[in-house]
Amino acid sequence: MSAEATPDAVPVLEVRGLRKSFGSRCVLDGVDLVVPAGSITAVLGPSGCGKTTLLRIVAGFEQPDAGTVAVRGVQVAGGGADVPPERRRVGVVPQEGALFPHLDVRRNVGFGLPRGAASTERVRECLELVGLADRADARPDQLSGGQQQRVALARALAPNPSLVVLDEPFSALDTALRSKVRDEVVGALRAAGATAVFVTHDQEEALSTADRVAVLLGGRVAQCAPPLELYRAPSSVEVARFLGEAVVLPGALDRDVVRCALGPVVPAVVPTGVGVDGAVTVVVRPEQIVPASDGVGATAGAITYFGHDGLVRLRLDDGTDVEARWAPPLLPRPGDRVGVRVVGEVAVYAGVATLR
Amino acid sequence: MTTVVAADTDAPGRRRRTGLPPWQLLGPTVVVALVSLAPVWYLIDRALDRGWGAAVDELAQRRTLDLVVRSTALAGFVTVATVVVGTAAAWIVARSDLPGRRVLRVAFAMPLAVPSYLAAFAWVAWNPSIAGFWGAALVLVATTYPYVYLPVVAALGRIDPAQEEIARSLGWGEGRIALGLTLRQARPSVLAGALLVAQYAYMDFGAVATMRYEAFTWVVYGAYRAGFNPTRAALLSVVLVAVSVVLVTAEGAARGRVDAARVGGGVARRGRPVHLGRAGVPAAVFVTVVLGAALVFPVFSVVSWSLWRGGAGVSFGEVFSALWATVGVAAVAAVVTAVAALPVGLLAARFRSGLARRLEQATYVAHTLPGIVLGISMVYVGVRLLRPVYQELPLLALAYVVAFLPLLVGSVRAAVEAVPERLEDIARSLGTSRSGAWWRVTIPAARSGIAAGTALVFLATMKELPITLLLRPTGTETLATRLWGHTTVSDYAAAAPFALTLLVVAAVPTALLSGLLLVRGREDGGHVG
Repeated sequence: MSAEATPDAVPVLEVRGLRKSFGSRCVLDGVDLVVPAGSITAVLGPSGCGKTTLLRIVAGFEQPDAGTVAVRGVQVAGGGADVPPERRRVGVVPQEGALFPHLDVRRNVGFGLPRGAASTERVRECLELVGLADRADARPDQLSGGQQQRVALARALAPNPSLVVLDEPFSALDTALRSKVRDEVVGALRAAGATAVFVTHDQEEALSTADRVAVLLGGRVAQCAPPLELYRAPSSVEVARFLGEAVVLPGALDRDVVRCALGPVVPAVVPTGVGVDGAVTVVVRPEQIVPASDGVGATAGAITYFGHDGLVRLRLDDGTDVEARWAPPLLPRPGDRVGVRVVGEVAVYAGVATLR
Repeated sequence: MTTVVAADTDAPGRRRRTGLPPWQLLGPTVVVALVSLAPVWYLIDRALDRGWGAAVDELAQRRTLDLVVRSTALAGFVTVATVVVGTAAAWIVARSDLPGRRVLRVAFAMPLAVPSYLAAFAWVAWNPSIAGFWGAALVLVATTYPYVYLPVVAALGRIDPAQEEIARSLGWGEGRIALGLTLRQARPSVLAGALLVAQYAYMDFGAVATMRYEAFTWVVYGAYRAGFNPTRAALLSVVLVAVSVVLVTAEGAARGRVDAARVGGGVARRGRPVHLGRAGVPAAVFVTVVLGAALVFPVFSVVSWSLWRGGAGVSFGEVFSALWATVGVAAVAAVVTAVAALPVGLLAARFRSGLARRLEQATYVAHTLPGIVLGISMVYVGVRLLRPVYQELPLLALAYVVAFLPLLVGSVRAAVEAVPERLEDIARSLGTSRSGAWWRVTIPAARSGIAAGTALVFLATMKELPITLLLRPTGTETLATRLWGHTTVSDYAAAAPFALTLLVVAAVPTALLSGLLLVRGREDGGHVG
């Protein structure tokens, strides 16, 4: 479907310099985002960062103050263009589904299709795609939250949109159900060959689901990259901190190695623009700090136990406090002497970041 | 990791607060608003047709002042009495341990079902000497105290019982709690209800006319009917409308305070009822007297007249044709009103610009027009603009539309507001235009609320008296006009079948439905009537 239809050169969605304020509050401050055909992109940001506004502008429900939006190379917003939502071919899956309460599942899915035999067939096809072909006659209030979400997806996919946008599609579901529905929805999107953008505030969800993750911080896309690359080499200390627990330490770059309170560490990417003093900032993940008898000496402090692992506060011998995540058999008792070192490559940035 | 499950706090949907509504909504709404304002315009025009000087001379007479004093005395007495009766009834139902409270809760609201002219008729038939101030006051208190009772019951239900428990733990007795804490918190609701009653007392026609008490509405009707002084009728109407505007404005403000006073959602739990003990005897007497006078007596009277002659002399053909005319006229009025209310309610629910707000307010103008005044205004409109339909069904239907539009616009607005705007967005992303989304999603999803409002208008039209009296097509008799005709010549037995039919088909269902909408409307924070 959409994947074959578009040459790779033309992105399905191209957002340039998008700005939007509500009153005096600037929500989007120059957002750039390119979504290639057939990909699933997550827009990840803290609550209230403007993710939903971005989606609403892409769908045509809001007008940007500045910047442009193009769908399949056709400008739909900004620069004099204002294509109404009904002519954008952007399917929307909102939070909690928002099914039409007065229509059954079949009519919900067929809402965007012309009447006729072809549409009946298409509705059946889309319901099969989300695994709900047997619930076509149900009313929305007879479905579980996860089923509603899947019907909402089928409804968005039915008219064969260029792009599907999903607004926090899983956040209303309880934790146990969330990953299951997520897998089903992503499976259906991939089976349909659809290009999709979904927004979320859940780092784990973004990293585990999407082909590409765009981190939205301070009204801009701070970084857009595949999940592994993003986690391994965040473009800034802020991105690194937002993606997960981080130990931020000052360090000194010495050729290919950085010296810091945790000993010598290997940068994933050697930073550019480092001053003559070699001052850098190192971001280490707690799970990278492992016990090593020949490592840096430290004293164990308070331990937070989670079951599958635990977080131990360590005071290094030079007085620096760090946190490490260890499996339960490895956890020391408060006051124990331990040795630690860093495994794997770490993210390194020029200059000295404000430490937290 | 952050796993806070919280909705994104971005603010979608603000776009709709400003900007010009599309012409598909704006056009019909402007037409409806102009139609609503036309009667007032013609009323003022008529009142001033001999110039300002003549108008001032006409009003500055001793008899005008007497009229103001008489009407105000009646409205004042009725308001104070309904506050006492309505609040006491509410407290007994909501907070005391009097047996049978569940039945009483509904029974106390039922006098809404008794049209004031029917109740007045029952009392006069029993003892003609009751006519006058006290008769009118009795009837108005008996038929309007539910306007205080209903909101106060709702307010008492919202009060956290923990407050009363705390007060007890601080050494307060039951009586001091009831007066100093519980009812004190219901004060905004009492005030809103009292203002509504005051407005009704000024505006009511049936009770004062039947009781021959020379209040505004009856004098206006007399001046109009006599035909020799239409300017005076129009001028007095304008004065009455001015009083009404003040009361409606005050009521709106008071109701706003009721909403503001509500903190937190839902009722946590029900408080332990107050043990009445020996106070149970006066409470039981109170309940008996109120329900006896307001409900049992008028219903019993109507039924007994029917039995009195054993049905002899009653023309079932006449009753049936009156019922048929009533239903037909009401059905036309309800459908036309619904068609007119749809664009206004949609506009009010979806656009919050100054223009949208003003257009909506224009359709509420009938709130301030007593039925008799609206009827007279529509006569002027008919004579000046719509002479071909004067004393024909279209003009009567138009008058009903103006009169009952506020009821239905409120229902449509509340029903549409309950449909998330997000659903319209989704419909548009699926290729539907904006007005297409209203037709395919918003209106169908809001249909039950719209239907309930339409049914309410249908029922309210069936028992309406003064407008029907003035504007009914020549030769058409409805249940209400038949009843009125027999009443004025004191032929109770002949009136009885019409009265009974009216109670059964119109009044009781109206009371039930408006009670339902009133309760639900308040829960939704919506506007009802």
